Amino acid sequence: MSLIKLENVSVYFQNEKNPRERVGALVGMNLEIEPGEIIAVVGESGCGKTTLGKVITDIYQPTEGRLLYKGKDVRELDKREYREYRLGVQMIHQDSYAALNPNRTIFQSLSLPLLQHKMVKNRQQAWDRLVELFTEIGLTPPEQFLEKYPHQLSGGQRQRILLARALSVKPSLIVADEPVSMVDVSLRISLLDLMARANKKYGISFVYITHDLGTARYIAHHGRIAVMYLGRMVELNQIQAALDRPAHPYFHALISAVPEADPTLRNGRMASLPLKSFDMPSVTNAPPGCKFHPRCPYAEAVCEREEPRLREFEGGLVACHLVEKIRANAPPRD
Amino acid sequence: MTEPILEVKNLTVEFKLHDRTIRACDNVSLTVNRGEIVGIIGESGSGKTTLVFGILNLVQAPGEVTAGQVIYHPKGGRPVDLRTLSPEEFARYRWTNLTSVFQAAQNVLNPTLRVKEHFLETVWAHDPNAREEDVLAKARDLLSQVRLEERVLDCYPHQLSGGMKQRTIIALSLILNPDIIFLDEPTTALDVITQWYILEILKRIQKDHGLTMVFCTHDVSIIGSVVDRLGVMYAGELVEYGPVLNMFKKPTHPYTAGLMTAIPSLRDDVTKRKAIPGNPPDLANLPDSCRFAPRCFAHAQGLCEGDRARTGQLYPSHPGQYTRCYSWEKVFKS
Repeated sequence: MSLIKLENVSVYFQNEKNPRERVGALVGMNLEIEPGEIIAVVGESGCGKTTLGKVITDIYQPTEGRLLYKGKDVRELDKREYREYRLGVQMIHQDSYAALNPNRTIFQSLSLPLLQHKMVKNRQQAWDRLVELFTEIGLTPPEQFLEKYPHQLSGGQRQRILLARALSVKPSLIVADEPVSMVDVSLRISLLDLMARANKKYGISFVYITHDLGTARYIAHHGRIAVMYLGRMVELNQIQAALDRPAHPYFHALISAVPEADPTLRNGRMASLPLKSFDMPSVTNAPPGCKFHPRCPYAEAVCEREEPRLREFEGGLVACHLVEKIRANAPPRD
Repeated sequence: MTEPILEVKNLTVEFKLHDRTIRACDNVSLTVNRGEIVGIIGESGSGKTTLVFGILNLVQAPGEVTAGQVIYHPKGGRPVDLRTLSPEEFARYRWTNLTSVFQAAQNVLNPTLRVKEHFLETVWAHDPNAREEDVLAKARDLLSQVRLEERVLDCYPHQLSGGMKQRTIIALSLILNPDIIFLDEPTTALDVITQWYILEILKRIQKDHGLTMVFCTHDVSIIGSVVDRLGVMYAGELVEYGPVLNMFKKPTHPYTAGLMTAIPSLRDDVTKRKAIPGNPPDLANLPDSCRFAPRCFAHAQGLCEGDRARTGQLYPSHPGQYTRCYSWEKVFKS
């Protein structure tokens, strides 16, 4: 049984002045998250990836469709079950400064959930638990960190504390929304390693939301990747297979746009990007048919008329009418 | 070919706090040649923005440029030390000779002015007699070079997307035909596709106009394929400087070497990626040793004692490459 299942979930935001105008932040999303797996969700800003994370954690409720936790609709859980779900699904935010109360020490912030959920009997036990946890994720000496206020810590340290906070309640799934985009490059990998270790050691599933394909590949190299565009999932596959042989033309462009550090590869890069237009259409005024057709170099008449459904292709899922044709005409990749 | 356009000599910027002084930019010397693209990388707080602010005379209280020279060589003119100019004299060079594009383009444009008014204001500040039609014709031409439509001229900033604003600012920075442009994190906060596009535009402009560019970023992968030479900053100091290819293939400072392996990419082996241990230094509380010593693998292995006095200068390593690591021969022997 999957841990979390999204069944045809859509989230619409309504325009306050004009209730008939609504924005589809997430449309017809189907996704199953298995215990112990890492899924990377990638896409440009405004593609709905954060909305997806917030639906999984029940911060936003789906306008249509259902969210299932261990096979049961989250809306139909009783109080005890809902509490278990809430503890089982944790979130790590992008901005570590905003995610911690500036007026409280780290210990005050982090001991509260432990006491509230009666996972420890008293403050002393909470202290011991957190000391143990901090040692494990490399915040040493732990006593020093527990007594500090958020502003006394660096961004990388605060992000580790957010990870510790999520881990402290022994969750089964952590939704990490751009957890390293505000962390210095020299420290990003160590944070990703910590998450990968938590995944291995405790079997915690991760939904890693990012726009950075490099870090997505790093953390989820045995997992899956979901590519989103304007609120829709356009491709879902094993990450290495997807990166080696991207099926959807949008994902193809996304991969081509990733900068390559090595200067010896500079001639291959910059050659061309398989896109007709570089600006993303606005969500409030999404084009008809395939949402990607105005930018797609392969688009045909059918793409303007009909919105493609996700279907199986080469072991993954892709939402594109012409994927077979594009693949057949594509030059072989080395 | 290697005619210098800008020589920075021993530039030091200090910030006086109530009980101590922070040197955000410590004795930095570097030469930029005409027509080349120089990249400066460093983590947050490493002083790269302060260096650019120091060069452009934009440091604000409590910060102060306490020492150093910035010698600018105008085309066919006599070199001037920008540091000795009065604010009025400096204003003549700003934008006509030296311009800048800063991070967070959203905040640079005045929200109450149309884009064309930004162009007109800038030109009139330097030449009150310029004719409106001429300025707008030039602006149109520049906008088309950054692939924006003419209608952008009549837009207010809020009507443009982040990528469009950033491109507008690049066009605006070129309105007075400068010969050196400083770009501070010009693509941070933009999506990969927009980022790709802006880098492509910058490269083309550099080629067409023969511009000199100084490109600051924290992400090595963005500029690896763009720049000719690369400077690495750490804790306010320039720790290594040299041709970009050498810096990648044969780094001679442990920090540079660490940065090169710290960034996950799409192609290489994920198991080879490694973070730099420790945290970025606190400028107010620097070690009394080589500033990188606490995080340095060579120091940890006992290969180098990290003597502060001997890191006071740069040592030539490979041709055209300079490092602050005096033990580089020992450290990079293997």
